[in-house]
Amino acid sequence: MKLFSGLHPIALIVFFSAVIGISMFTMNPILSITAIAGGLIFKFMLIRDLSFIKEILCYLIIGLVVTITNPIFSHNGKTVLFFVNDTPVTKESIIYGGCAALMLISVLCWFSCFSYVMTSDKIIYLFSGVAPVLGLVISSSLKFVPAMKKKYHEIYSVQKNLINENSKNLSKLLLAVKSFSSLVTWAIEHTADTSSSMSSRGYGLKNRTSFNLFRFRFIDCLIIFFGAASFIYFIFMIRYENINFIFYPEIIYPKKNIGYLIFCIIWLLIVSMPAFTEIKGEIKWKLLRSKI
Amino acid sequence: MEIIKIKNLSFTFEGREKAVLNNIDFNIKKGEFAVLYGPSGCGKTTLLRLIKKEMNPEGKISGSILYKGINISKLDKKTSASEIGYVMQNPDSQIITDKVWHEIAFGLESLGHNRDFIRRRTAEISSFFGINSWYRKETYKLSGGQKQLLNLAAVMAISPEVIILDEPVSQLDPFAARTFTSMIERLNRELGITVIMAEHNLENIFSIADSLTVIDIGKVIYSGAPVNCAEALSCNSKIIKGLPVYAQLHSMLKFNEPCPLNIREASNMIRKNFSNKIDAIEDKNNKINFENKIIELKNICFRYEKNGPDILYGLNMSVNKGEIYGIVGGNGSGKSTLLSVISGQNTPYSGKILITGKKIKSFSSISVLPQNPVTVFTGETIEEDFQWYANYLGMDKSDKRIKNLIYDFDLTEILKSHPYDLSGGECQKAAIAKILMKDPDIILLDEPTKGIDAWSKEKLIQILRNLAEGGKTIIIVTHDNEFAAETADRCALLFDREIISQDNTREFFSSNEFYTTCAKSMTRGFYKKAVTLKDIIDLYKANGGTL
Repeated sequence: MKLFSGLHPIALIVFFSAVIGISMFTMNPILSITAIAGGLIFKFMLIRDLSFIKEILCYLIIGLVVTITNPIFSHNGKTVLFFVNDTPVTKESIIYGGCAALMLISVLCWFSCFSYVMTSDKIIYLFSGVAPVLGLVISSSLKFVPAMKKKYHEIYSVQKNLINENSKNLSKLLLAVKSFSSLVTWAIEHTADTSSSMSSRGYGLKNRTSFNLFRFRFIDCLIIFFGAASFIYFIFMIRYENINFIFYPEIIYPKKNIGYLIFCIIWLLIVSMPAFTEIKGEIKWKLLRSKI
Repeated sequence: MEIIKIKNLSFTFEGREKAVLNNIDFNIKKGEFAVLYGPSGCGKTTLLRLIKKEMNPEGKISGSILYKGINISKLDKKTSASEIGYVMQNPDSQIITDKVWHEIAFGLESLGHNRDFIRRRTAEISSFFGINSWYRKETYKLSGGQKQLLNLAAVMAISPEVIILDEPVSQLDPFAARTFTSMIERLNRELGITVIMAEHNLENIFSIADSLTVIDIGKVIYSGAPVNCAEALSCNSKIIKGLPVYAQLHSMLKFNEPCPLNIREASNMIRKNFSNKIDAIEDKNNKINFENKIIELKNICFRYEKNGPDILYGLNMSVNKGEIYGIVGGNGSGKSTLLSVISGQNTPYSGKILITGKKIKSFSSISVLPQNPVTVFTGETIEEDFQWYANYLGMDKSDKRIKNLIYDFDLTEILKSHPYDLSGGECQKAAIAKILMKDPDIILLDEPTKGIDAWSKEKLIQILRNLAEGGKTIIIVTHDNEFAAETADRCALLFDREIISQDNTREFFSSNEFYTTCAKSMTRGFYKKAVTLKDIIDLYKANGGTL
């Protein structure tokens, strides 16, 4: 049930820009953890296999490295915990490292969801909005690269039969060079054909349009509105109020006023929405199926 | 009403002296299924490219080509793009975009149609062509047959009046080729689209074509209905080779009745005119020594991915020295995989491969002719490539072997050419010469008849026979039953991951009822053990017939 990824590319890009943009400028462990939780559940709903565990491990390692490195280089902060080689290690700099790690992980996590959801056709659609030629260029490269890879393997295995790779020291290199030069010739021939195929189908005529399979629905409007509004509110918050922690010289929590509370609620809604949509869809599907 | 009129057309390529086309005259009526037939390199492609404005080659042109009374060169760009469609030979290189739906929409986008129109048209086209199930797929993941069908669909989306097809099925396997041809037939019969199709093998389209124009060395040598062509061409032994077996038979025996257009008619013709008092020929004495096994495969199991399906499982096979061994089988039955395992390009996860009774590490005594012979070459010209390779193998420049190869394979004229400029047959000849340079004992051929004309096929059979007589062992993997029947000493059927049946070629094809040759189907229930045209002729003579 890829419900959320079925949204219109414009809605998706606005939504992800808002989430990733806000996460990037938030030094607030509570907000970062919320974002990570929402992102991870969403990612799990999308892939649902063991590679998910690998991803989490990877985040843990990055987090650990960032947390440890910060106090080595930064000695700011009031509370000195201990000394290593006569340099002080402070409580504030450790906590700062931890928060920065959380921020980094939340950004990475949402980027990984973004790249999973934004498939090539969506990216092409977005680019052809900017310049139609650009979209077409990406599209034909996406076709050409796999074809070229396949061809290289074909040529390589044929040449391997002719050039015995075990016979001389440099045979492997020779084999690669020969195959590559043959590949280049192939590519030239291939693109010549492709370009005549393009012109024979009228490429270069005036008033070219651009077609796609995406439909803009009401839900897409809502998502765009929601994403944009929360981003504007976020900018307002960091300009006039404060949602970030202050670490040096000592840790100061953001003021818990109405504005901050509203922001927290909005943030919770926005980062849990993708995962929520997927889970809701899943339950609905199970229920519908059990009725059959 | 003529939709295309070609008058007195001659054409010479830029920088060449000899004309490719000489005084071509021919007309195509609206709604006609016109077939251009001739051996490769006869000028078919050039002629077709001259009809499509955007594809015009560079060179000197005289005479005129009129489309609906307007000279092609004066045709408005939009009209040319939208009314004349062109499908090329290579299924891969014509595809422009990465998604099937985008490919179909490409032409419509160019013509500036709006979203709703394109939506509707792509839906229509996909339903007509039956590509709904792969509408959202990536183009590079399609099979060759699907790709070519997509190219046709993408051209048809613009709703042209004329479609030009340049040997569209020559790179496809027989099954995909039939699907494609029947689609062309549907377009012609159901929608009245005018079709101009170039082919060097008439097997599939002989009964569909309305008119047949035969071109050889730049000249039209026959133009008319397919029924009469066999008689008209009977004195041209080169051209006649590309006709279906029954048309060849008809042209040889000159019966006083129209040429059969399909196997059913051919079968009736044989029953009417032939006698079957003697219904089997003596088998030629087999020279193969069955004791002298050169390759043995024992219990071979192979898969491409760890968790993937087995492509070969428990396969056993043995080939004798000096034998031509044909492996036939349907699409995707693993024939090419089997070859790659024998040649050492892929390693089986279980089982043994013995060459002359020994397990070996280096496969230097085995040469492979790949499906695309052009991949054998890496140089700018054939000569350069040969010299480099001879040097690599440590041969002298003046080594007689190379000279002999060039002479034997008649390559002198094409030595200076770029591999990509050669015709399928020429390229294959040169490729065989190159793989022979390392003096292999065993030669493996992967679909050697793909993309080559009947004339080159005939020569190939001769080459392979000579090699086998010279003591080389040859293993051929092919879809082409006719070719296997004429060439191989023994044949085997690969099915369900293993070799199912294996017999000497005549037994093999004459005991098969469905998976067999055209000649066998024609004489089914009449003659025993007639699997090639030569067999039919022999039996005809044996029963007292005269040529």
